[in-house]
Amino acid sequence: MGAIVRSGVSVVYLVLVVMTAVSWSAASQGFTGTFVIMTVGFGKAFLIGLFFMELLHAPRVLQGLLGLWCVACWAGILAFYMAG
Amino acid sequence: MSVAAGSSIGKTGGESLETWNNEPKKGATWLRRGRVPGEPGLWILIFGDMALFLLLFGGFMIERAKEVDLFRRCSDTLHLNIGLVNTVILLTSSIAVALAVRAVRIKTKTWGPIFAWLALLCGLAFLFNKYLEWGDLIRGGIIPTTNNFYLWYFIMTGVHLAHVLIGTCVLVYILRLTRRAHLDQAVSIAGLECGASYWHMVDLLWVILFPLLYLMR
Repeated sequence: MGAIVRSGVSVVYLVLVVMTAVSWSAASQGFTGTFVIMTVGFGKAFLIGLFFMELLHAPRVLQGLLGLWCVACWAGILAFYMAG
Repeated sequence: MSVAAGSSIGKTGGESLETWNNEPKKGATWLRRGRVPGEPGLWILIFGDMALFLLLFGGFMIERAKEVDLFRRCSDTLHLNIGLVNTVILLTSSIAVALAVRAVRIKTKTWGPIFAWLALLCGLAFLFNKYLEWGDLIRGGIIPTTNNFYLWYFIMTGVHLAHVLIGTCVLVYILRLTRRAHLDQAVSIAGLECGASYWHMVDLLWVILFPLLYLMR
């Protein structure tokens, strides 16, 4: 089991859990809190795409689409939040 | 005989399952170098799904901008702890799937089915939690037509739930493949990767839905 678990994805999992705790703790802090939780959220999504979905070694086109989706959603959500 | 990168069939015994051809194919541009996990067509599905959710996120935020106070108040009524637990559950299921794929690749056959079972149990736990959460809201008189926030809440979590239900069937398929690997039978590595990528997408979407619906104030 050690040979399986001792891998980069296991470290990424622990990082994702910590990031979840960070965003949960920033929940009620107004715009700053929203900025933190959405940035952390899309950071998690990007890590899931790169490491769990194995796009880290995939063609740049796929990496670009993932990054574009994350940035577009993040920017759009924050823009509409500020407009509210 | 090593299995070519991206090929469909590989036997678990005596052959390298994880062939990694980082050398660019003839004519491959900088954009196209690398290895496509699973099958190329899968990524049309995955990014298409993600585009759908991009539209849902946008629609939610547009409606929220019209009724900010309502959306803030209603967000407070959601079960934050269940949402948090569900986030950790899906992250755990994703790592379990990733480790199951890794176990099949490096031919430690026993652990593939074990991690696949863990992923499946996590998926079922998510479904059960969703049943508890929705049940509690509905018993409290909160339904999709209550107001705009709950309409969008039930639409987005409902669409995601449909993906989880499909994903649970995919996890059963992944379990079946890992059991075949355990028995030294031929396994479709591309199929395994496709299933895994689909489930990771389900997790990826939830890690955005959770802060959007439960945490944003």
